Amino acid sequence: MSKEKGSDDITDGQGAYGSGEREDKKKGGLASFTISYDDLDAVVLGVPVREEMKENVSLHENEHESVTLTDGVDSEKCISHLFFLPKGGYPADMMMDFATDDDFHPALPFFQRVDSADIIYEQKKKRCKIIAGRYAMGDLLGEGSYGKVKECLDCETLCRRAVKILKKKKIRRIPNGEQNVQREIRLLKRLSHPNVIGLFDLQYDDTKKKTYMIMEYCVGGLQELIESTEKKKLPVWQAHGYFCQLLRGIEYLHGQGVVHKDIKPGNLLLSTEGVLKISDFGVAELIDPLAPDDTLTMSQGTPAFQPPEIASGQDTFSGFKVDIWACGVTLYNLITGIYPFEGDNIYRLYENIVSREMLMPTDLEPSLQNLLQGMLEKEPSKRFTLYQIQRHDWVKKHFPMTSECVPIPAMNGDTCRSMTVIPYLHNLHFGSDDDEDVEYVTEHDLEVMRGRRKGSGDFGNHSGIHSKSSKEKHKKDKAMIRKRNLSFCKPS
Amino acid sequence: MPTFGEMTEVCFGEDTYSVVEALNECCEGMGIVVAGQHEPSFKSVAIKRYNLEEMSADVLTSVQRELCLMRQLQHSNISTFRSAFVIGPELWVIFSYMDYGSAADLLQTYFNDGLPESAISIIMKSVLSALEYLHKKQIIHRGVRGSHILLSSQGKVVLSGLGYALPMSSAVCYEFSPRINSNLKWLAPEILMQNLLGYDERSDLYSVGVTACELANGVPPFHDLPKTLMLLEKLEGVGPRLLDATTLPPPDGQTQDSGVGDSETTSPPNNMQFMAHLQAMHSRCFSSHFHRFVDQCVARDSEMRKSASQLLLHPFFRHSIKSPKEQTLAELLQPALPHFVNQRAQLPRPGNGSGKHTLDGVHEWSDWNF
Repeated sequence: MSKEKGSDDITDGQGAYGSGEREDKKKGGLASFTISYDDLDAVVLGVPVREEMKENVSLHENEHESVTLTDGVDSEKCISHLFFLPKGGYPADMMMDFATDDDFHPALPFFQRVDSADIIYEQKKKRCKIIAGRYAMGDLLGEGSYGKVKECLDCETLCRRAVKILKKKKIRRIPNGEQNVQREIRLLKRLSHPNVIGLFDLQYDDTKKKTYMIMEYCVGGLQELIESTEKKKLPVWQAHGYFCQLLRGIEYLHGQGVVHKDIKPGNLLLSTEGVLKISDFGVAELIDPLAPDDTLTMSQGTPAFQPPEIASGQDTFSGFKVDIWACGVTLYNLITGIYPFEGDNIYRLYENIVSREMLMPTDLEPSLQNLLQGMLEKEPSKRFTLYQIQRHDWVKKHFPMTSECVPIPAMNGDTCRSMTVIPYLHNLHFGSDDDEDVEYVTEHDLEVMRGRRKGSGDFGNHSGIHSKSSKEKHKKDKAMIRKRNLSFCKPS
Repeated sequence: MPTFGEMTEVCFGEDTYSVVEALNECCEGMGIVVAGQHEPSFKSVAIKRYNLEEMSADVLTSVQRELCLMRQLQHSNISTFRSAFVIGPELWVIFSYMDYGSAADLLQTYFNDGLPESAISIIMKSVLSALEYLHKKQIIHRGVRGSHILLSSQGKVVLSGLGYALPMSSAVCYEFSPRINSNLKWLAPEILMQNLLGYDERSDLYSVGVTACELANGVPPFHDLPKTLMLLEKLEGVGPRLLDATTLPPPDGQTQDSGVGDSETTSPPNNMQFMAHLQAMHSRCFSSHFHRFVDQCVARDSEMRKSASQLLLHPFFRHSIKSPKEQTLAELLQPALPHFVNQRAQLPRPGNGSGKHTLDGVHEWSDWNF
């Protein structure tokens, strides 16, 4: 599928948490060392990979002295891919290459089988970090270009929250980074609506140069939901429900004079209750209350969701109509699983958006086709207004639940998305200081655990989680281990 | 917060209410509760007063929701208001006066070591009937605790705190907001978990168990614990329990035994009051029915809990009916005395001028669609 290949970077901008694909390769995270088995001299090469399951695990050698992958950069995240090289190995200089070069000799590794029980991980202790004396940190939820998003617990109210950790160093490197962050904070502070993500608190750490944004906790996003399904789309009734909530959120935002400019499934999150939350106001803009209309000049949104007036490079455009277009693309995407306009690269994509007729799937009901046609109207002045959309037949129609609801996919095998702060709190209240209770886990154990989780996939039946989807999720997990960051494994 | 004494007499239609004395704060300091009198009938009333101008929109909606909900309820064990109106900048809600105050008040003033078991049995039975009614109406109360149980010398027991109640729109609820903060100690683990499994009306039964322990022990379980530790204990299934000779270690043993109670351990053992408290708990023994009742309420897994209707049939309540002397609640609560509203002795009676407010009720009602 050409779409798969090309559109990855186009559809995946700097998402809020929940989406972001991590691109940065940390060279500092690479490490290699030799371990001896009976008849095998092996080099273990560590490549930092984000793989949630083993997130808090570091590599440990079987019996003798322990070798832990620490690289100073981000050791928590550093887990390894293991490559066992044949006895005799490769010349030393090649080994050096191994450890330092990202894309090294394509001919190099032959993989040798190692019993999974022989790969041992040391369970990293979940030491509880509390920021501002109030928020106990939990596991990582996602990572965007601005920094990490972690789960946290407000120790005073016991409310689950998400904390967006912004590192000054990182933000500086992004064009308009600091400006965007400031704007997002300013905007979120003044917004309050059930369908807009809430910002509850702001904390600064001057020594670490970090800003913490304490936000509403969301269990996932529409992007995750789509990706968890086989055909990458949602049943119409479910998409309709989310779309109506999106409209309510947009109505509020536009009423407040805020243009979001980056509406897409990846920025639409879901609370535990299933309420849609518009998030990521990094490129949003507040229209000057004294301005005559909603004319804007700057756009930094995600390419696949940009309207023709931006794709064609116009200097000024109507802000509200930009959001309408993006809502149209979002609805199209939720229901069909594809994008109305695609392209192998951004130029081709923009060309298509500007001049190509939209591909309208014929199996959609006429009123929906009409709605999409109206929202994805190339001429902004002819494009539907929010008012027209809200009164559109398809929007007003009631959709009964005709098929099973696509549930929020499991995270690390946990279908009910339990609080991840608990183990940290446990360590805080009951943990001992000495290393006696270090736990060791073998790769084999992990494998068994994964299998078991897979087996208990339909635990939590109430929300209609069918084991099928969790099975798929599981397959995906595995695939990720193999795929990520291993540029040299690709058949070139 | 409205200031006491600003308005001493208010006419609402035919009814005149006079304010007699300040009782309490309510709604986290957003309102005050005053005792007053319904002039035509000379009956004592409790008046909740909110200043609408100072209230945030959030609190206003929650008060509005509470009143709407109460309007739809009619049960002898649920606190409902007699009348509500807006007067000047204030909202007045008129309730029947409950002269013993709340169960938590009783614990604080008369029963530091806890109420007698038979009194608890009578109180919890009323609470359970109230819950049975609410649950039948698909409402989760979420605020069952000692301070929301009001008692009168006529033996009436009502459940208040409906501001926390949540009508169930589906079989599972997920709502959790900081508003519920003051009830955390009483809340069931599944509410605190805030995950995709959600919770339902059975979570109220957990709170019933915690409240029963509160009434019996004199302090709510998890009393001195940091909230995060309380959360861990609840999630790990360390339920609250009754403290008596059967659950406490022998008095000569270490008082700081960590296995004991959920709350007592953090207090310094050299505290005389604490020792006396402990002594009192050692010398008593609750019935096994009571112990079993609590255990059934605070089961970690909500599937294992019995419904309010089922619990009403529990031997714990049958036991109390068969008690040798049929004692009234007032008798059981001796030496506690009901707090009668003083017939406006302290307040200077203002003339018909400054203090008296009259209003055309119809007009004000329209803004509040009760």
